[in-house]
Amino acid sequence: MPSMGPDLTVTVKLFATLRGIAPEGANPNGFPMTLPAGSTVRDLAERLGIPPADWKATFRNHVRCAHADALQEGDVVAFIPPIAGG
Amino acid sequence: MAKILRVDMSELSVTVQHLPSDAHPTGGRRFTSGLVAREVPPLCHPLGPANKLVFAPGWLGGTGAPCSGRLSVGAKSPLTGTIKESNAGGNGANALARLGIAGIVVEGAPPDGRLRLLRLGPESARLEEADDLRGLGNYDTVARLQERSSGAISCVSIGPAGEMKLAAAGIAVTDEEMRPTRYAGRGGMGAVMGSKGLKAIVVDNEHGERPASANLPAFREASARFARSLRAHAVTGQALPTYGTNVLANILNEAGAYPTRNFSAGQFEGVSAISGETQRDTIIARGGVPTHACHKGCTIRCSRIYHDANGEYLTKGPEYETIWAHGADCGIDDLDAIARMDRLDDDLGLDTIEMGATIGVAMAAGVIPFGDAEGAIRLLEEVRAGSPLGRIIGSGAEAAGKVFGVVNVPVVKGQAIPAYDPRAVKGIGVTYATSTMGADHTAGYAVAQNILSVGGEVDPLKPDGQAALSRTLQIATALIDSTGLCLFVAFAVLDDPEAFPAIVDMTNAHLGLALDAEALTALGAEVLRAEREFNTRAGFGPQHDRLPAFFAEEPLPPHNVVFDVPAEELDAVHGS
Repeated sequence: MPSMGPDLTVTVKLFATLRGIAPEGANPNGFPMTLPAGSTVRDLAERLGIPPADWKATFRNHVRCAHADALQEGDVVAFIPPIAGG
Repeated sequence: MAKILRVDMSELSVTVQHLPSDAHPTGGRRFTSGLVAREVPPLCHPLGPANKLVFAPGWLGGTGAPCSGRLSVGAKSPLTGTIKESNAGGNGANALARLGIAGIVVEGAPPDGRLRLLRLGPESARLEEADDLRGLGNYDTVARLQERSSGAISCVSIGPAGEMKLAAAGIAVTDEEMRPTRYAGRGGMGAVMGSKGLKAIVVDNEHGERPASANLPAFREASARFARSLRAHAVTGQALPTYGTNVLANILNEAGAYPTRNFSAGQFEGVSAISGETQRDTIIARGGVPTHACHKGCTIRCSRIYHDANGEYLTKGPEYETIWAHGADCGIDDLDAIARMDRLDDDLGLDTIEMGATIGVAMAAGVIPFGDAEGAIRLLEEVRAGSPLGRIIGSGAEAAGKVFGVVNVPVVKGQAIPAYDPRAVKGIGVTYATSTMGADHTAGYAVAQNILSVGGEVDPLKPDGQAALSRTLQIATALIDSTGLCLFVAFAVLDDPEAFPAIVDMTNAHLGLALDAEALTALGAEVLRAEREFNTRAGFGPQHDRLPAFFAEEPLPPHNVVFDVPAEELDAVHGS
């Protein structure tokens, strides 16, 4: 769980079917969210209300990351539902 | 018993052979690559009379199995000099299978240089004069063919690019709306068709019958099981029908692997304007069709219909690869301009990947600036005019790179690299390097595991495990391409343990065989081996299984990585 310290702000991106869960008025291609220091990728997903079945992969600063990874101030976090193409 | 049609363009004759009963399971890529490997002299000129152009539905073609309507096209490629298998959706394969046709082998070359068409009915197969169609685009060609036909037809045709025997020419197949939008695009198969003087194949799509299954109840049970698997999987049941293939644009851009401005960066600042999400919103706002099946019996329905700003039909919804090639790779963020180029490519009969990559190379040379959408459209119009510049563009990225003195030319074995930078998706880089086809993402789609977490996870930025991943995928792909199933079923097959047994059971029930999963998979390896042997005899060796040098030398932003899978690992992919 989040530890003591100043809040941190990250940029969230929601693609494809996850677009719909962006907060009212937020641009799903990138909007800020503030969380308590020490928050993880999973904490952020829970705050956003991403259904586990719709969450396939996550990119943090353009690199695939784990759910348990701690977030840092200024991170860009993109949530990817199950998709493919090509 | 299924028929093989031998179409001799030198003698202007059609001969019917019967597929030997012990040939099964054969179809699709196993049929086309097998025939080319057996009968085409590997050192022949691809546009000469010794080359053979082969068409085949898969062994599940015409049966009604979900997504089983792929048409395989094979020959020696004028673009790569290797064996080539390119396959397309549309209604052509099912129509052929329902006429009892297992394969068409087009041989020789016309003595008089005239154009002809091949007309196929339930009891007939004949060549007809078609020189009046010379120079027509695919859209007008199909319209004329409908005028001179009675009843429902399906068309397989070439445009002016194929007639000019340009190495980037593809072969169009009509879709449900009789539009020439589905393509065997890659490797210059349209040029081979042009060299045979064959403008089109017109297939009766009304009077055929479903090929008989050895055990119809068992087939139906397995087919229903397979359909359930496709519907239940999040990718084949929801994501692809909703957004189509271009849903990948934002994702690959986010991963830093979206090749931009001739592979000079991994992210495009204009991506949101050309993303799958924007494309879907645009299509719906204009009254287009956001979810559409490219052939009857497709349950995934990932194609779309794109309207212009006035709400009029412009083209099918351009695919991810097309939007990337004509978009990010050329620095163009105008979806309507990209759609116009897609329409031009379809009409002229050109591979959209090769064209976008070629224009990107021309932009790198300064022929026109990056971002110049109208200039790019003018270059495609030059192809239609058959001007020297147009013929250079229509000959592909490697040719354009040589003519214009460009160093960073993104090709493997002469074929343009598609929409995933191999430095940041190293698994697909292995496939580009080692595929029997030249750079081809569909030959072993490691993007699934590298980026999308479908079928497992392999870190895209590290070289570890990529060669083994690519090898497994290349074998599985060669099998899927032989069944006639769309490769997109693989997303369900990779995740759902019920899906592959359903394919095995459909195969056995339809053909009266008793193969197990291992035996069927071995067929995929056998197809690859035959293709590989052809390429060896055509002069290709390990030194050709490499990416262009700049991928190992120039780091790709934002990750600043190079392609670093060791050469010995590339050489081990096919066990040589």
